[in-house]
Amino acid sequence: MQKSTSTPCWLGIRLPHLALDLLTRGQARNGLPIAVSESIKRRELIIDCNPAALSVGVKAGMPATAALGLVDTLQVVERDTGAEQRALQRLAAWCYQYSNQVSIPADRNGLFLEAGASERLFGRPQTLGNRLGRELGQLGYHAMTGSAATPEAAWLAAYEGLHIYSAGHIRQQIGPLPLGRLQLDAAQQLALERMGFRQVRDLLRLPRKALTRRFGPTVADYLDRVLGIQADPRTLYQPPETFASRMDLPAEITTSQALLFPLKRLVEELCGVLRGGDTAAQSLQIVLGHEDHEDTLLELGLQSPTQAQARLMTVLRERLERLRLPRPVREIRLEAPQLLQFSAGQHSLFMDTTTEHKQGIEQLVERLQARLGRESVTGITGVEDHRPEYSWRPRTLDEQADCTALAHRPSWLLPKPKRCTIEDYEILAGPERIESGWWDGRDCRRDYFIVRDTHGSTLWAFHEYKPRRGWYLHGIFA
Amino acid sequence: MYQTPLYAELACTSNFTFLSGASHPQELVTRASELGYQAIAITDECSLAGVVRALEEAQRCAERGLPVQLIPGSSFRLENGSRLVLLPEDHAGYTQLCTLITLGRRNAPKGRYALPDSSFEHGLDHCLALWLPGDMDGEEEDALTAHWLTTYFPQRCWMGVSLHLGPDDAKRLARRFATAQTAGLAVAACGDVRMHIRSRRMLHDVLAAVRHGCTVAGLGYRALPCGERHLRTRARLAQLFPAECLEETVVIAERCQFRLEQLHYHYPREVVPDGMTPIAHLRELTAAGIAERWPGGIDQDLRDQIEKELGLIEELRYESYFLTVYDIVKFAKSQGILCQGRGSAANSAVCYCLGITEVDPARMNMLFERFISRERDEPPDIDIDFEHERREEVFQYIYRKYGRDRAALTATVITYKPRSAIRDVGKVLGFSLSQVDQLARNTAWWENPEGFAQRISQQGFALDNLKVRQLIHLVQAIVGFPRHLSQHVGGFVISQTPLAGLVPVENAAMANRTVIQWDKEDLETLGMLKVDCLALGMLTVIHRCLDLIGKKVDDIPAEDPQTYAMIQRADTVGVFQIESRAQMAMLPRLRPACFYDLVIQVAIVRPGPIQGNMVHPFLQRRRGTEAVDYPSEALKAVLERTLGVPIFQEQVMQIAMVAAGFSGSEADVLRRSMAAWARRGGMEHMHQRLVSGMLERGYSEAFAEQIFQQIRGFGEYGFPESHAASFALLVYVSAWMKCHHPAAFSCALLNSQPMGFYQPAQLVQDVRRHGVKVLPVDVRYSRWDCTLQRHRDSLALRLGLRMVKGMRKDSAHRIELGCDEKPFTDVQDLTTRASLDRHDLAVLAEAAALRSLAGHRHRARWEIAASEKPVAGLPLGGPDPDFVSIRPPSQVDDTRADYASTGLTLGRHPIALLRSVLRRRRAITARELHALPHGTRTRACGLVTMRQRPMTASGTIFLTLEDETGCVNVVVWPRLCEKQRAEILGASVLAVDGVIETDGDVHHLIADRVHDFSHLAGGLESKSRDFC
Repeated sequence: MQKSTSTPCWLGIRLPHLALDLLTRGQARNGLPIAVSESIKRRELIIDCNPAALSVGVKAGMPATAALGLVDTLQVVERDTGAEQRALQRLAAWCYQYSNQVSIPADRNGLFLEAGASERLFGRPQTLGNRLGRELGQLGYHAMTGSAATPEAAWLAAYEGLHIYSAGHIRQQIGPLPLGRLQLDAAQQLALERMGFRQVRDLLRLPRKALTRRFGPTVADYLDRVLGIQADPRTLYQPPETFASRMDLPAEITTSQALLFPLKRLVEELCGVLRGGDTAAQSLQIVLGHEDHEDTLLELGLQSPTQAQARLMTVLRERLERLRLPRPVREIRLEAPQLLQFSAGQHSLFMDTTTEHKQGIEQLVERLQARLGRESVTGITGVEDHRPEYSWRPRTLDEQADCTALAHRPSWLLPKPKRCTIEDYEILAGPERIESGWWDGRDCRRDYFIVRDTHGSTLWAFHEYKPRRGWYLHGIFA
Repeated sequence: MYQTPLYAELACTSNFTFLSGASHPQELVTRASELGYQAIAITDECSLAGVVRALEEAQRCAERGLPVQLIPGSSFRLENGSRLVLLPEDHAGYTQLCTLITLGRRNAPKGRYALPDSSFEHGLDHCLALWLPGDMDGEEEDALTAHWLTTYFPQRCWMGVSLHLGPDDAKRLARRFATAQTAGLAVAACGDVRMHIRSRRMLHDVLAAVRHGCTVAGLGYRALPCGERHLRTRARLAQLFPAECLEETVVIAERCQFRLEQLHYHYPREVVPDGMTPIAHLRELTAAGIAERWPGGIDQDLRDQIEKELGLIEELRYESYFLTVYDIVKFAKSQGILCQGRGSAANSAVCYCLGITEVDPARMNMLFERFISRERDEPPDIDIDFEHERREEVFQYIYRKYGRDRAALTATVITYKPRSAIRDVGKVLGFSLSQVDQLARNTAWWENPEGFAQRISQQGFALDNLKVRQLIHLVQAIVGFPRHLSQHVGGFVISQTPLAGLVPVENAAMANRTVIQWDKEDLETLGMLKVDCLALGMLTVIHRCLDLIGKKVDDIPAEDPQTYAMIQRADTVGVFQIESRAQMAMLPRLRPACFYDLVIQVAIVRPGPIQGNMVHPFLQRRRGTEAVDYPSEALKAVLERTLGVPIFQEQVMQIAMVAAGFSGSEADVLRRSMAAWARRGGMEHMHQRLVSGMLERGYSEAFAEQIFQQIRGFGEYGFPESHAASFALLVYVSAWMKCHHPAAFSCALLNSQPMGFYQPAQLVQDVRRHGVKVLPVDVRYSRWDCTLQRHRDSLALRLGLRMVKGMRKDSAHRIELGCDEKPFTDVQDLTTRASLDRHDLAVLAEAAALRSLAGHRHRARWEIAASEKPVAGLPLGGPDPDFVSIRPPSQVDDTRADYASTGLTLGRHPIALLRSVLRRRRAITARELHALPHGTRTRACGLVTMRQRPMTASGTIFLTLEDETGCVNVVVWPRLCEKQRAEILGASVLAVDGVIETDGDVHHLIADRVHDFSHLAGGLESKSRDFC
């Protein structure tokens, strides 16, 4: 009874709880109540929740505040569609092991997979569907599968776990489904329901002309795609394995420094692809094409794979410095022969920096850190806080330094205020009263004085009233 | 001997510079007086909104023997960021200042001001200027500004130097002196104060964070560096400033001779004809009124009363006030706008003669002192209700007649309430939005702070947590802080001279509305006239109903027995005042049988009498189960009409007069201090006076205490008898209409929505129960308004297009016109002739208003989906070539759609559709429930049509459940409310298990447990009117 394997057969994989799955994948079975919320018409509504939340009365559709009112321990996390998209990309790559025709629909959380061609390897669509459902379940995703000759029919079939073996059966099989299953926009859906249409078959019965007159061509076209009357070509997912790009230079480049700009563009593009595919590159090949001369080949190798443009550019810049160009350059090709799995943690230290100055410091830092250990080299930045000891903090070197320090304050602060006897000093100016910081529990009340010690150094001392009484030395004027 | 130097603080920012100053003006004044300052200037930024409160406080300080001069001033930001404080030297200077502020405020959107530096160059020659240079400006900029000042404020400007223990005060002082010397400016010390005491620093930071929209931790240098900007002791100031800087402040203060008390407000003059004195004109009008009101003449008592009133009015020079109000009322009447004076004005026979009030003084026991008293020295307050939909005409008349420069609305100061305080403070302390929501959701616990702490901990916040403690502390401190100025509901100030000379005027949020910077208490303090033009929906209803039945108010017979019979049955849905649940519960017990009973009925269901425990004694005496006795013969005269139980404010005053020897004016002071007592305390001297006065006159101490306790809640929450009588008139008229013309009355009610206590659904249910046929909205027969139409042999109520959700009035108007031309034949015809668009058609289809053109809702929706907006001259698409069969909606669907579109259904009650399911779940009907004996345990289920949590009921919620047979009144005690909040506040269909409590004809179901049955009704959008 089964059709020949050459007939396309699509498997629809629905991931109805994707947003929640992404939050709960790491959680043990009976975890804490978690709910996903989404801002709908400026109200934060619950859109999904786990069984623990369900059991205390949290329901999809209720305002997040109401849900919070039901159970104090409820964790409400806002939906992150970006993360969902990335997950779909990953899952598409993962599905790639079962079919080389995988498609990610733009308008819903799920995947299409052509199962007809791989039937000999993985068995009938139903078998493969069950297997995918099980294995995705092990990865922590709730998946439902169904199959049919068209992707859209397969999607509908996935609601019920249906496997429709021929295009001719689609109409009959999906007829009893409720209207809500159709992939129509919410307004059309509602309008149809409000005209008394309840099941898919109610809609299939309508004359195309009458339908088009009321809803434009979209609804009728969609139904045709479901039934296979209209073709439904899908963009197939292509997992990136390598990266290659080239650029013709409109004007010849004669110095190696002038190559930086076009190269930066190429590296930018590469990094975008790396981020998109969650991969990293450890080596790059740059081919510089000359007129009437053999190409110049630059091979860059890194200590570890990276996605960071800044880091690639630093290395590239160093490399270019040593480069002597035999002839002007007319063309650049950039290739990453192998995209590697990216391991996180390489973000923090190197991010895009723009100025030459910064890059200089970075290189210095890279060298210093190599010698002294990473933790020993940091910068400082100003923090707007009246309390001197909180008016600065260490910063990582890629961060902007804010110069918010107050002009009249000493540039050197002691790591900790040191007790002192005021009689040892001559008071030059003051008091400056500081009372601040109640919000973090370290409210203080002190009077600062500029004083001079017997060696003629100008120092900064304060008299504290709160929390501990006494005189302290706090800074040194340069 | 060392003497602490004298000092005057000339720059204080109070919390009327919204979200800046961290102290009330009163606190600043009190503190200044305690510190022995010579004077204190309240100088909010481009505002005088806080000065009257400061004045009241200054007067109290003087009474306490610690006088401090109050200088009303204002500060302004110059273009270079430095600030200028302006202090009026004399009355002319004050007028100049008000004019400047008005200019700046009117130039900018609500809440802001715009004044270029050039606006200070002219027209301020009676103001002193104190310049506060900015810290960031260079010496050159400072020198320029100093020069500019000396040019435009010769001999009237100073440099104000403030020292707040900054980085190097000595250097700063020296620099300021140098600049001042070059420019020839004198230097005055200046606190540039933001709070009255140091400890307000936290609050100041919180306010700044709210203003900047960040957390306090994120304020950075915008937080105060220290708490020095408070009112410091003179000794402390002496250590900081050179003596001459302090002396200079006193010199300036002495030059400020203007006092707010000098403000003289003049009533508009045009209300008096040329060549006539105001009193003569008033007498003339009163005489004419007497002739009209009492064609048969009046007795001596009444004549004396009127004479006494006119005498007092003349003595206190209130003639123009009465004439102004008379003029407004005359205008309204000439336009056929129903109006009626309410409140204590009804205590005045003169007001009755002028047609301002409608309560016949010959029939009432009047207490004129409640209205005007010699000692009170403040203007009488006449409040007039107008038809709510036509009040704007009255406003426009006032603006037209007096001009926008002489008439403006009173301001209302919007202050922090617990809920808004928690939101703002929580946010800036860094609580998450959901935490803030959670805390702010229910603020009923606010009444007791321990409850607050408890509630917070119940919600999973650790009480020992620093942030939580700070939240509790700061919320308590910020509650009552002004937030912004809004417009009063209808209080007009009208003046002979331009208002800008008295008080600054600024823009309100509503276009074309201007408000003064003072609220009604401020006006009272300064003795300024205010006419309250209020909007009352019931007057609109009465007018509409009278039009429908073709009668006038005077045609309504007095004391109609059928009307009283209806009232006694508590059959009063829609009737003014006595339609609320609490009133309805009282009606069968009190059984009003005459007009005066209605006056009592209106007054007795009020927090005052309820909290004073006067309701039960009164009812028992009325039923004859308790003996009516009076403590003395004298009091019998006062209390006889209410069976010995004080119910009205006037009686409270009379008890004080008769039993404790108060004069009429003193008694009014007693009443007023009782109103204030709840807020401020400080009743001890009155208590003393009252009790000792009663003891002297031979009453027992126990009785005196009992009276005191009873009347305590009255000041604010009791009605004056006069007011109750005015309202009772409307009660009677509306009840008569409901009794004799139920269709017309409901029609008028529906056309005046939103108003009153009930949703249209309940009003329609009610009128149908009274046998009136209600016809659905139908595009072929409905007008915009609901109408009365002949249906078979009787008059039926046809619902109007206004009931349709989303219906636009202009589209409805075109439908009316098209309909008048000839009946619509089909949807296409309707679309073309009324030129409707898709939206119009869709809302009509949703309301099933196309039923006679397109059939049931499903088909109507299908039809209109095909219709397109007609293009001029082109025919429409025409019908579909193929017939499409469309399934009609089920009854449940139709009911649901009815509710979604019109908020009501004329089909079967939604609960009736569930009846078989409910039977299985053992829920009984309202009718069955009312037949059950007291104490029976049962389950009722219905649509939740009302939720109410009265202030007086400490957390108890009253629910009304409606089913196809009637309504069940449910009482939910606070404990259950806590436990089942979600169901109680969220369900549209609710089942309640509980015990029946019956008292006479009044039944309540006391809930033990509730169940949300909304799912049974499948998303029915029934709306409850919630008063929680």
